[in-house]
Amino acid sequence: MLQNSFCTIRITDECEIDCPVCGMPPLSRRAQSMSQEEILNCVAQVAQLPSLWAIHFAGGEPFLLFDDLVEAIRTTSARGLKTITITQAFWARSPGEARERIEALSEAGLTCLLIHTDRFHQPHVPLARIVNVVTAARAAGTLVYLFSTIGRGEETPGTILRSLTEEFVGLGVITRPLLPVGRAKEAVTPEDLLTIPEVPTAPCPDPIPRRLTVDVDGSVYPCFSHAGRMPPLRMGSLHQRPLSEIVTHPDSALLLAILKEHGPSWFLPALADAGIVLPGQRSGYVNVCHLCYEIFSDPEAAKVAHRALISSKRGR
Amino acid sequence: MPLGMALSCIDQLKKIPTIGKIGLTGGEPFLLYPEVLEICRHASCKGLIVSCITNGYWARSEEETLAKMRELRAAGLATLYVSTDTFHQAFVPVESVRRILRAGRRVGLFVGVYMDVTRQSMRLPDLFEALKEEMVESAIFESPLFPVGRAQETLDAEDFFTRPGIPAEPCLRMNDLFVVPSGDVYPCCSAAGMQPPLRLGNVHETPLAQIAARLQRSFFHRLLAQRGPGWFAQALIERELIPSLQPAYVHACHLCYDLFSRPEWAAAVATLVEEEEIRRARRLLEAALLSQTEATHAAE
Repeated sequence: MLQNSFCTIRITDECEIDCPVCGMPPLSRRAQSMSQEEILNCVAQVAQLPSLWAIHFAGGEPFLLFDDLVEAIRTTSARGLKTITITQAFWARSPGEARERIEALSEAGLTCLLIHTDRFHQPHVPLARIVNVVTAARAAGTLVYLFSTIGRGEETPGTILRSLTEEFVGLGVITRPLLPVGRAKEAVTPEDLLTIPEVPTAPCPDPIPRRLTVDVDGSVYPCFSHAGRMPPLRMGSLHQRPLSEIVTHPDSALLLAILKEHGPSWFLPALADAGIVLPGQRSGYVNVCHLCYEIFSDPEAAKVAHRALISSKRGR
Repeated sequence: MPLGMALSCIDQLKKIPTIGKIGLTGGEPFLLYPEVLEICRHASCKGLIVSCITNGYWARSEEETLAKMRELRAAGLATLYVSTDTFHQAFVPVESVRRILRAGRRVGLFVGVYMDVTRQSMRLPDLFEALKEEMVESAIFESPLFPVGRAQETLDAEDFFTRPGIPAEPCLRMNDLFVVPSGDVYPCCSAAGMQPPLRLGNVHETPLAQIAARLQRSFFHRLLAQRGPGWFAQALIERELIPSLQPAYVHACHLCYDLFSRPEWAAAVATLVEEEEIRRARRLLEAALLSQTEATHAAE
């Protein structure tokens, strides 16, 4: 079921920078981190999942728990799994600092490093720090990709990339759309979003639960998108039962089955019957995750969706 | 490759617990479009994640592209990669890639972009700017072209992004099983990897599970994965098994190709591996003897 999947462990909520378009709540409303014991317990449980390919250590800013991160990567790679982590590179003030940290991670077995590089992060993190990290990662033989969030009227990634490709040949960039989730919900307008011309009717893009996420508080969710971390999707908590049991018998089993088979658009007729019109139905959706978030972050819509689920269960 | 052979490979791959993804490549796989759909259906029904790479020649109109993308999504394709760069765009306009990216978003099919680059070609920011907002939910990978196949004949040596010295990086690709139409299996899908010394077997002669096990057991392939071709090159020169190398390489794959495409060098590599294996066996034996001696002393 989890064949060649990767699991994300969000080791901390904390970050040095408070980007207005972050998919997480404002920094003032989050300050949780896992302890090293919790991280390693999490790794031990995740590593036992069948056919897992890699563990992704995410945040917040995972480098804020640097020693714990190194230990987690060492433990994971000793179990024969690949490791991925992500950073905004705020900490890479000099080539030496970047080299020291990347060498430590590489020696611990880090496979791949993602670096936030876009117009939302760069006002807080000078591009020279990205250069420091990419240089150090390449010297250490660690795969490195840029990770860019893109909104409408996007000129900046090209400009940022141009200065980076003068330094480096063979870069890779992974892009994700700006979603009105977390802080971004308040900061962005519908005009900032790159919407598609119709309501997304596809099933979940990443086959559930191949992108399992363990949150800082031990909650387990079926996907790593910030849009997917909502109570109705929660599969269970590591503080209450082991991960192997959560994966085989998730609290949200019925909802996950619907999302996997039909996607969140399955709930739209029930919402229409209840007279609920979601904002995106007027202004457009970026993708299926945006629709999912709108349904399950709106208490009224989530209630209607829940009732639709119960009826479908009876029908089945 | 005949459809039956591809489906049989999938059935065999499904039995290998460490394999969960398959990738369809060519040539141009969309020249066998009905077969691509059938393979996607077959593999996804078996729980494998399927990706495919194309040059996008078929994306001639919005409607045609959308229809094909819907069909592919329904057949179970998880990711479509498109090759586009200066060299491909001489034949397939960037507009076709734009259509594929746009349709991918609409039907929920992830589209990634691969581009080969030289000093004279377009680079990643150029493509990014050409595709702009269509790149919103994607991945784009720039790869320096290296002198192999037709590129070696048609491009000037100065066009390649070579760096002086021996590339030191390990080989990060050595986990794949790459099956070609003849049935031969290689451990890497790079053009550099399809060299006789790297060949793992043939599916017409050996089941894929056995070939996969062969890769896991192979001292030579593990050495190459961990130390990279640079280690081999350095050792071969130090032991005077080869005269000299090129002064500059694009990357480790280029060096790998250089080492293993010359039969006389490949023979030298075989000698080196044999020596290294003997050395390793000796080290293991010595460690075991030492540990036994210590245990005996401790017991006394």
